[in-house]
Amino acid sequence: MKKITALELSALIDGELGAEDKEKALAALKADKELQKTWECYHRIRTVFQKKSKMYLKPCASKGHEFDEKIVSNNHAPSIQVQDDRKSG
Amino acid sequence: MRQRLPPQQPNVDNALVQQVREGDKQAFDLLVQKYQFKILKLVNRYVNDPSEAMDVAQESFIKAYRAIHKFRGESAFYTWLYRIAINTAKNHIVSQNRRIVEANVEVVDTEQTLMKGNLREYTAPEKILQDVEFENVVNEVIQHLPKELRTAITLREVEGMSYEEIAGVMACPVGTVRSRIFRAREAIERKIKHLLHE
Repeated sequence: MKKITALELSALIDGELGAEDKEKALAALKADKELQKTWECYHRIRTVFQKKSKMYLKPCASKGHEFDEKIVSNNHAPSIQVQDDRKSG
Repeated sequence: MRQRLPPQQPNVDNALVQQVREGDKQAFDLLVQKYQFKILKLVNRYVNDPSEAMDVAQESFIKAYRAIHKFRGESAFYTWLYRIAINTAKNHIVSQNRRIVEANVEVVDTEQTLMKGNLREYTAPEKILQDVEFENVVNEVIQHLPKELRTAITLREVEGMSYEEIAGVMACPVGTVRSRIFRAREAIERKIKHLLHE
């Protein structure tokens, strides 16, 4: 069975894998105890975001969680464009 | 900024539920791993005792497993599981001859260890429920993430945007969004792993 990467697991959790890839990923996940810890961990992380979500949605969010206006604006695209951030370090 | 419900993954859950119905216990283990913390916190608001909460949560998952054929998918799996957990917690309190005090519980999601006898095999229940430290660490890491990573994961987890939508907002390829969200999670996981699996 082909192993899946944590990158694929992350996409699985977000519902961003196609049907076939999803089935393969779930099958691989069941067979990989270490990856199951990551699966659990990513969902724990999600609970923290969800708990704080009301705070995030306020205009003045807590320090450090605010969006970067330049990044979220279509009119101010980031100056650095990369296909895969991992390759850039 | 659009306001959305927290992200849901009904497709993954439904796929796992279907596999459980077909006799795949490992699929149920994944559902347990996914929801055990939320269910533990939920029932602890009723029973207010970590050890009892652990028992009630485990009983809830066992009930869910036995009744999975009754789940028709009309609501999200977690909503169904949530109701089972609440009822189990209330029944537990009644069986203890204690008065049910309605917990201030908010339905956030509107929508095998278990099978081996332990909800979680590597952490004490008290530790699971003492999540303040966990949250503090997660928030600390989020604050120090590079802005691109922080923005990507926040748009995903808080706004519930798809990768394609985030790519549009951040003016970058979908592959970059996928990578940024993963790198954010990876960075957080690196800092909290010891809290979860020590």
